[in-house]
Amino acid sequence: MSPVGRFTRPSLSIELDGDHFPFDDNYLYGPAAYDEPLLRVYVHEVLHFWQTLSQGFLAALALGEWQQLLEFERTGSAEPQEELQAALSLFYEPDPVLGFSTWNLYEALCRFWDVHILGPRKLFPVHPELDMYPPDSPPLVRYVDGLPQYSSLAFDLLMGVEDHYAAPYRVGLERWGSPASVILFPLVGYFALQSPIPVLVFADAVDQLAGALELDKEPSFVIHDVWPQVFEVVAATCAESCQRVCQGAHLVTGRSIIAQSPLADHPVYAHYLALLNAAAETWKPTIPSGLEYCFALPGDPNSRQRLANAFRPPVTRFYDGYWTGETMLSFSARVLGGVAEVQTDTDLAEMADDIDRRFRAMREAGLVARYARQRSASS
Amino acid sequence: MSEDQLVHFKWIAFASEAPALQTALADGGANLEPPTPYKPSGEELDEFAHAGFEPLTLLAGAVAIGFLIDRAVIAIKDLKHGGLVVEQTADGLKLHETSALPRGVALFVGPNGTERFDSSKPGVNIVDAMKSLVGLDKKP
Repeated sequence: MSPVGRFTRPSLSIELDGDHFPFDDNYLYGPAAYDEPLLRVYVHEVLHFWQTLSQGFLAALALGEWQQLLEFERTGSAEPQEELQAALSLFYEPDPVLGFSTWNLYEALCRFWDVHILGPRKLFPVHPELDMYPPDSPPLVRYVDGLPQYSSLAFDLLMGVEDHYAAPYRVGLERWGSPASVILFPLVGYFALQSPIPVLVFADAVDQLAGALELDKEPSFVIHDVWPQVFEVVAATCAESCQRVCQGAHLVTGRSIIAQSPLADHPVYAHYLALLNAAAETWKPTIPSGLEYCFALPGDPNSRQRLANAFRPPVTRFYDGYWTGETMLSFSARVLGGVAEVQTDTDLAEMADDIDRRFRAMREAGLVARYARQRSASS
Repeated sequence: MSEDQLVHFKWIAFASEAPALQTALADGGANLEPPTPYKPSGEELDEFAHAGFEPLTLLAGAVAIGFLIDRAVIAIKDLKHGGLVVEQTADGLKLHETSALPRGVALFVGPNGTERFDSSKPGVNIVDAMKSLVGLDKKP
């Protein structure tokens, strides 16, 4: 049985369906080196956690859910407020023309990094439908400087295997071709999720970038070398697409949403806002685009190492135990920097647990209300 | 109604868990339709998307009501990070796991409303509760 995990936005916590095992700092840096199926799920859910901290659309969704929870506790009403309902509809409902939703884009982006970080060798066995492709066979492996790397075919097969991951990537493949898609998809997806209407901004930016960078003419490249070269161009193109498609709106980071909303007073988000601010200051001198670059490209080993050393979920729960979210940055900000908003790992885990319990109570009330609504509609 | 009476059911399971459930149901004599991918309706999307990682499979068919109740009770007790919704519909019973419920909790949805059962509480007998939901407790 393949393990399953869940990420909960209002608490930023993760649940993994499996037994606890000791945490290792290298799990996020090099998960493929470990023979532990749950790590595949852990990486996926941590990517959602990083997305929420960095992509404005998702942080705004978290804000809506947090405000709904407070409203539920005040009034007992579990019905989503109008603004949240509209945001959830925009998140889940497929665009009628493009045929995929913001949720599909969000999952596709995460899937992209799953494949990149874990590699086909780990993921092919999870998909029996790909049995006809032995993961070590020549079309799926190419050699760069004598080292085995996955091929475009391997990547495209894994990205296309499931419907709710496949559609947005397919748009990139059709417009850009395979080599350019590997470069551009994660960046365009990242910035599109900083806009108010991610699917439309994604589609517009895909059009704008088609052929613009001539990446499809490169016979062979190492993506980690190309990403820094195209990062600023793609960011600017997506910002223009956002303005064009969303009536002059700007791209908004998760950090901005958190800082300028009631999430700044949320017990768990306030901790991460302090860490985001600390990282933005510390990383600026060494990385041209700092936080943005790392969050946009968590598959880049240097970016991922920085993110893993700074931002881990407040709690990762197993059947019989949990991991906390202490990182080098949280330790140094709290102990050396004296940043008041940064919590100890156990306090943070307890706060996240408490919010999870409250959020689940609201979701249960929402479920009961939904069935009551259906009953009254049918009677 | 007797425990041998066939009941139609729809059971929405995670794709990775569906084969084991399918085998268990078949071993219990279920007449199963081929599994199909399950696409949640608009109202269900938020509930199912919290599970995030993998797609859903719909198992549908007919099986003895007593056996289905036993399987549902096993599922409720086995779920580690959520509960089970058992819904009585015009077409039979519809079951699905949900992270909206705490571990070990079942929500029964019948024509007269919803009832919540927490299997971890002493004195709660989910088998009896499910029998009551489907009318198995009524004397012929």
